[in-house]
Amino acid sequence: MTYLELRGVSAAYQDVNIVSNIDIDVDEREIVAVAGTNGAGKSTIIKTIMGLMPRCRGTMTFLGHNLFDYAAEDRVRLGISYVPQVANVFSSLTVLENLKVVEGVRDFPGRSTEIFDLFPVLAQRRRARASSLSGGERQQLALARALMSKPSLIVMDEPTAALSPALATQVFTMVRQLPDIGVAVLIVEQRARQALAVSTRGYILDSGNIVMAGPAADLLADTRMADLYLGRE
Amino acid sequence: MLTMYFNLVVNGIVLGLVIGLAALALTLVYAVARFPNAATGDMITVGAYAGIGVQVLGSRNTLLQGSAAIAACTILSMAYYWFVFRYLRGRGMVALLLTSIGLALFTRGILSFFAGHEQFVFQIPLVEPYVIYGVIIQASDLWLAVVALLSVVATFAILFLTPIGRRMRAVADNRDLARASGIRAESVMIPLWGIVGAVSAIAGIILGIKTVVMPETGWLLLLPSFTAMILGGLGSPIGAVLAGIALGVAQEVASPFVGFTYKIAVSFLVLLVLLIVRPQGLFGSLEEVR
Amino acid sequence: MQKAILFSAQDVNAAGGAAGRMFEVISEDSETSPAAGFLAAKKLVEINEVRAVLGTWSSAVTLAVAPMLDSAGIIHMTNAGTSALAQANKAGLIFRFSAPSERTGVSLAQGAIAQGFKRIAIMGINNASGREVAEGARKALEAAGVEVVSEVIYQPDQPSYRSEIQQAVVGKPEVLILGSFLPDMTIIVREAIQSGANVKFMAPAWAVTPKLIEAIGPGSEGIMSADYVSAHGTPAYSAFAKRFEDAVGSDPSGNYYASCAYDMVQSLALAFEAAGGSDDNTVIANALREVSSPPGQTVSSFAEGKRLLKEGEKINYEGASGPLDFDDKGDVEALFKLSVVSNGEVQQVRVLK
Ligand SMILES: Nc1ncnc2c1ncn2[C@@H]1O[C@H](COP(=O)(O)OP(=O)(O)OP(=O)(O)O)[C@@H](O)[C@H]1O
Ligand SMILES: [Mg+2]
Repeated sequence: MTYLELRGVSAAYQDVNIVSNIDIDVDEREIVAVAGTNGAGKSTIIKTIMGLMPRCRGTMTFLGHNLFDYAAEDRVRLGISYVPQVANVFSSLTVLENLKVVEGVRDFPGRSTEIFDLFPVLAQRRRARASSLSGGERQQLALARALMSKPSLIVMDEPTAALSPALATQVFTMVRQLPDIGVAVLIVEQRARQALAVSTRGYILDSGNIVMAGPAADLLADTRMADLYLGRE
Repeated sequence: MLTMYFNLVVNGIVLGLVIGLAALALTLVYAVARFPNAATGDMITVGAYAGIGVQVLGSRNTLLQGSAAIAACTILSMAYYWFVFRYLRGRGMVALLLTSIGLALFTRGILSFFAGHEQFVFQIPLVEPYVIYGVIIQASDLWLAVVALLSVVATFAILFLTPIGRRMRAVADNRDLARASGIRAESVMIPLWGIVGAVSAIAGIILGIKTVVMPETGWLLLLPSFTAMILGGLGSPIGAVLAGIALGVAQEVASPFVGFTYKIAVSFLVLLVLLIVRPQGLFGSLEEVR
Repeated sequence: MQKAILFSAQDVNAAGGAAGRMFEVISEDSETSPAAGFLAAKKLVEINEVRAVLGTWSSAVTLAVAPMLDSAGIIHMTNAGTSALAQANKAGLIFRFSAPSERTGVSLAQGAIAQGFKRIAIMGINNASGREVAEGARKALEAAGVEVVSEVIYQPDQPSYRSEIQQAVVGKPEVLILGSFLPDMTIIVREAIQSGANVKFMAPAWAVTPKLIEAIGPGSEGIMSADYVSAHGTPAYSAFAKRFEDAVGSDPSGNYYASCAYDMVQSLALAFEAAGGSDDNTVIANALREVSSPPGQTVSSFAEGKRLLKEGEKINYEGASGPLDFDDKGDVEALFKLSVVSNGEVQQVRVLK
């Protein structure tokens, strides 16, 4: 079943189109990667989906709802959660407060217990300010916070950008497990190979345009791809 | 000699509490709405005049005067948000700052149109102070200090112990993530502006009782409280209050050395040195470093 | 003031005018705004072609119009207190019927001495007026050999002056002379009482107003003030007072500036008469100095002076507002009185010499 469907989506800062005419699909329990280099427009796509880009057009549906009918504040209720690229947590709030902040969580004690079971490190540091967490812990908190509302889709903006290779691997491992708990993932990454490796579907973004799309495995196997976008192994 | 410095410190603390309250009102808006609200000073004046209004109507009950001030400022402050600042979101700091200056002038114009330029005074009995080992403490100052501290404590209780306060801090910290977490701007902004109004009202009543009430009363407080806000680390409520007190004390204690005409310069010197040595302010800020 | 100018001019005209010419009075309102005052004065000079402008009062307005009047060669009679006026008086055509602020300070000092105070402290607001009052008081006290136990100049618009007060009273003065305005004086007196400072207060009359008394309540009893006072008991004052009562319907004893206005016209007319109706304002101005200061026979009105001038006598006009002996700067030794707040009202105690 199709969860997220983008057709001919463009987004702009001032009058300059940053991404143009983008088509993206994310199906139920699917991990989809959008790979692109620095400044390609990855964050712009994510922000457009979250309703944080003031100027965008095209069609965007989620579970059949026209996303343009929903303000950014309402999209979490539809089941979309957001893990931003930078400032991915509320750093002046405690770990617990970061979880409490999410609106529309019915049974907070129960849900937070479930989340702390998934992230034992956070459970130990629940009273600590998020700013005191390490980079890896922060990324866990960002994911934990995104999971609080029991989303059906999480959009992640370069979750491994600031992390060491070892921690990045750890994050990809976590991402890979998300479909098992019923969550689809749209992930944008510069670490294209690793992202595609955990994904079922992939898109290559270059200067705001999708230049290639297809099953992740096919993209990984494509030699032109390797030369142009994936870098040497 | 030592008692003289104690007295100066006491003076400074009382002065600093008023500056601190005004700085708190400034900081709350700055943290969440991201602009220095120049209308804060005149909101403080409105509070003072609301109290005077109750007095003119015949009541010398300070509690009643304070309540009227809080009611008037809370409503006016929320109205400023609802009818003006709400429409300027995302227009950038300069547009908001200029608008707030315009609102400040507008408020003062209305006030002086109705109340005139003559001074008003809160009629409170003037009583002799307590003298403890040469340190002079005025009963009224004690009360005002207690009220100021209570309102600071109440504000922090709201900020740190209630869901609405948590939302405010979340919006201040990371606006986009707060939106993506489902926090509606209005649900935070209206109570926030209400609190800002109430804090301004209390500052206005205290300032009015300590001094005289004129249309410029609050506007003149804006500069030192602005300094305190920056000193406290732009956007940190605790920092703003502590910096206000620090500024008050520094100013008073320094005056025997630099003279009274230059004591104001002291606070700016402190500000300057601090900005060079610790650009993030004395205390971190609500939104932290990104 | 304007009424006093009008009836004073009527008197001049009733006495046959000055040097055969009648006085015509054209009124313009300065709205106490420098811009409006300047435009009004410019209109008077350029459209109405007046010879003299009388009765400017606000310092800001006076300073705004003075250079223009000075360069146009117009006689300018004023009550402004600012000492900066001296700079605009290039042609010697400006005559000030009251005194600069410094004189108010001097008279406060004289009042303090007259009341028998031995230990005196001074506080002044940090603006032209406040510094001048403080300086005038200090110089007069030093000249009289009275100790100034401390002098504090403070910044305007502060929420509190407790530290300043503390500094001023540390030497235990009996009285505090304040070069203040109403708002800062209110705060200072309240805080001084609240901090237990056992001291009396003296200030210019512009600060010791009913508003101050209302603000301070019972604590305001005994606050002293120095103010201009008309030359009560002189023939000129009696004549002026009678005319004022007829025209305005009230007693002019609290209206010093009206007596100045009256004198402005009378003395100007005498000068015009003495100068034989000269077209040169410098000649008129010199004549003004002569007819208003000794030597000469004392006169109290234009009519009286005109007769004596016709007989070839030298005269000395002693006005309703004071003796009016102009010095080179065009200033007079204005008369001052000392008042004290008693039963919630400002009441005159003595005229200061
Ligand atoms: N606020 C903004 N105003 C104007 N242009 C912007 C703004 N933010 C980003 N851009 C521009 O949009 C383009 C795409 O930015 P975007 O952040 O989407 O890239 P990205 O692919 O996420 O890059 P990165 O790998 O660095 O995160 C860049 O060229 C950038 O300069
Ligand atoms: Mg990005």
